[in-house]
Amino acid sequence: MSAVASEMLVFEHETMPRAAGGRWEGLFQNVVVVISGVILVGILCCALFAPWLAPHNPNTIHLFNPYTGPSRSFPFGQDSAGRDILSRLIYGSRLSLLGPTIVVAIAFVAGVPLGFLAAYRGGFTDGIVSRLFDVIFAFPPLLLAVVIVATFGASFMTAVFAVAVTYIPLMGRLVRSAALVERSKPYVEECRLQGYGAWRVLFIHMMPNIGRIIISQTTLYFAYGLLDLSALSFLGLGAQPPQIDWGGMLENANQGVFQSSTGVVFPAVAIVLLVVSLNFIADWALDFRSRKAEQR
Amino acid sequence: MKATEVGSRDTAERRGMSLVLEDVTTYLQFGRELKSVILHVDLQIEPAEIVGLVGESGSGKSMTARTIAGVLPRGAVTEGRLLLGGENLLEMPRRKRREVQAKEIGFVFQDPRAYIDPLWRVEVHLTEAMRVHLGLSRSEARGRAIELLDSVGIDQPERRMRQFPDELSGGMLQRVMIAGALAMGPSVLLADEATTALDVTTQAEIVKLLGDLSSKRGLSVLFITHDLALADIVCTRVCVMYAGRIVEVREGRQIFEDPIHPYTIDLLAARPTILHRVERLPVIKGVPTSAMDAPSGCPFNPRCRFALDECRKATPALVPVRGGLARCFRAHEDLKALSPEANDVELSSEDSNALEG
Repeated sequence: MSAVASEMLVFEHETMPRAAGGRWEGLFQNVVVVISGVILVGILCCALFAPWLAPHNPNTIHLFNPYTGPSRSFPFGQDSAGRDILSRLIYGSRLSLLGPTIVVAIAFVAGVPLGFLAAYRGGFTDGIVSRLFDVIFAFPPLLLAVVIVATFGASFMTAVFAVAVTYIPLMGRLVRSAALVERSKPYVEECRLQGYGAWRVLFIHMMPNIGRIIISQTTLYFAYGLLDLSALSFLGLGAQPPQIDWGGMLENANQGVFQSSTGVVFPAVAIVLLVVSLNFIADWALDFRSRKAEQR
Repeated sequence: MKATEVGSRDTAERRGMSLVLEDVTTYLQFGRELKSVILHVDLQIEPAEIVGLVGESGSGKSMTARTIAGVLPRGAVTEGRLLLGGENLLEMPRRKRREVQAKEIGFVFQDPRAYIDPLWRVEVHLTEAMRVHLGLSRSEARGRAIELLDSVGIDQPERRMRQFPDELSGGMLQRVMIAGALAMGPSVLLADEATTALDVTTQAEIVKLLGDLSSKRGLSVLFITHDLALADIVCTRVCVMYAGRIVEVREGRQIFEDPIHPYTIDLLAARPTILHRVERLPVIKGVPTSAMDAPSGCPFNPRCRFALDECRKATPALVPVRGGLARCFRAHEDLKALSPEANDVELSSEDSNALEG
């Protein structure tokens, strides 16, 4: 028996999964992850410590120098009303982080249970839930959001709820189809054999197995949410002055883009950096288990 | 304190219960219709006995096991009597039946990698049922799980408990699955092709383990396989299934020495042997049918070399013949002697065309 066991040990080592690609690829990935982490932490710090980090009051107007390029006291330049772009970026990170977070949270809290319910109960319940999703899906998301904002008046929270509504069916459908696939897997049958109740099977076994898909999709939705909210702000339907967010800054700066481009470039770069680094970090986090297997 | 606990548990495990199927028929739902997948199955397994169930794919072996464990697809209906220790499971209220089945029936599948939740450590797989059904604390359940791993021949059980299923080899994972099936101290163990996916060496070990467990714990084991030779080695009794029906039941080695049913005779003749060289292995003409596509009369009649007119009209009953049971109108004749020498069974030109084309 022990001879067999030691053989199995060898076998185990040989079949251990190796990192995809060579050493350079692994190193590159590590560098990207570190950079992404630094950027995310940086943006988070900006949001938390804005009053201490911002060099100027973000809403102080300098009417005589609109659309001014970088200078010693305004390193990122000044916008249409001469406000400090750097300070506005730092303050803007607050809403630009908060908005997508609420969107994703609402989509998660409403979409995941609905998707599970539809997949698990099937039949009539599934029909009702799925048709409800279809109705929302029938409208282009941004258009639907615009309609909702137009109905309830433009404000940051309205925009957030409007975008969230369009994300609920995305999340719901994803969870439903993943749960349908998962439900027919042998280990779920094994759970039935063991006589476990529906809640235990759903939340202890199926949910963690689908979790990877849900989490990776959630980070994607965060990024999309940020872009959609920025788009609404850009259309003037999102955060209203004196509230600041990055999308709104873009809107404000686009008329003076030929005088000074910094008002467009920096908020855009901030949005891209946030979205991209979030995706890298999410990928990295989801590889947790395979990384652990490699280390052994 | 602990010693007495373990002692009392051991006696509980040794009490054993016999499993009896009487005229069990299971229907599955296809659209609006119900179609039978197993028909009039009679089966008896005593404690410490290993009964083999052999047959081709689609013959209803797995459906028999699923019927016993109560894990059938939605809309399935089971008729007949399913007796565990004398109590009919099919007459129990649903909840009670589920509980009895979960506690008293262990199920081991062919592919443990698919049947064990990949995201939890071995410890969770083994202890979950004990914690849910027996209300054991984490450390109690852990202790028992380590004992279980030890009893299925896994060394370093503490280390294995901390590992994830993907870190274990197939043979070891099958042992884990067996340990999991034994966690509740069941009286019946259903092994559905439990050794089919393993290499021969590991297969031999698992088979030996099943034999040991059966005799030590008084388990009634149903050993499902399509490997006749393996069934013959492992089992005290072998049942041959065809098209959802049990067509032959024999004790010990009888099935090899003296097969009764034409299907068994031809099946044995179709096995390769190392004793003499043959140009081409004999085959049973036609294709295997499942219960739902079975022709009227004896389901084997279109493929049978001995079929009579009555075989096409009526379905034979399972009757005692030469110390066994067989479902054949001509069971009392010595069909094997009637047939040409087994290895000379000729291929019809139709069949050889089918094989070559």
